[in-house]
Amino acid sequence: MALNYRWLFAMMIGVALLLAACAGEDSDDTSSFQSDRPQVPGVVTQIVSLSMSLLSINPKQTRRC
Amino acid sequence: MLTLISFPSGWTGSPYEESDLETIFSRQCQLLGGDFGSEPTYTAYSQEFNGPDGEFAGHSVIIFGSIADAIDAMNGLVSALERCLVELENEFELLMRRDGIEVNVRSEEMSLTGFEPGLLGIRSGITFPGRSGTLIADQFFVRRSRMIADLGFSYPFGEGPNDTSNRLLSRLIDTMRSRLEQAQE
Repeated sequence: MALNYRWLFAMMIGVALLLAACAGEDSDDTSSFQSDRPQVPGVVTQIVSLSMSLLSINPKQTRRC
Repeated sequence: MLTLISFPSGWTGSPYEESDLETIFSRQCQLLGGDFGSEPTYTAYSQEFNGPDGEFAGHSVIIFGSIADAIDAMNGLVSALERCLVELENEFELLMRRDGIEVNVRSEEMSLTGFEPGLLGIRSGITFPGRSGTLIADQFFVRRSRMIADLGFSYPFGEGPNDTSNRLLSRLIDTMRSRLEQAQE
């Protein structure tokens, strides 16, 4: 049993991925979003799919890039 | 439990997924890692809820074997938060760093007005070095009978609470509390 911190980590990962994707756009590397994913291995892989879904449904954040 | 119907239109729900995310705290702060001493008999998780602007909410209910155990756990949470916020921040930062992501986390206990005494709230501000913007996340705890419910809520990246989010959170907390009261009847 553990306190439910998973959601918080998912959000942190989501924002980190978003920022990485935005940085990739700045350098005109349109494939950077996919290529960034392997850089967050380990426990994060358990929740990265959630983060990706958070990003994909969030046009407001995407526009910030 | 909170369900999608508890949220405004535009929100979506997805199934809760188990995680083996392990947090490690010192003995005096171990309660923040979920070690309550008296083992809860059951923990139920809601769906995970996503708002249209990037909000996120998650909710769980921890059921203890007795009211006394739940009161002890809630009192323990209060005292742990008085002395363990730095450890909580460090643990979050360490877990993220292990996966190659640098974050700075600052947490504080919230002063909540307009709610019953005993509602506990923590606000965390998460920043990413070299980047502008803060991810703000709140976590609330409330006890009824032998149950403790928690509600996690994070705001769109770079944004904080406003009248709309305050109204929603107030409603969610009221709903969470009334569901606990229904469950204890």
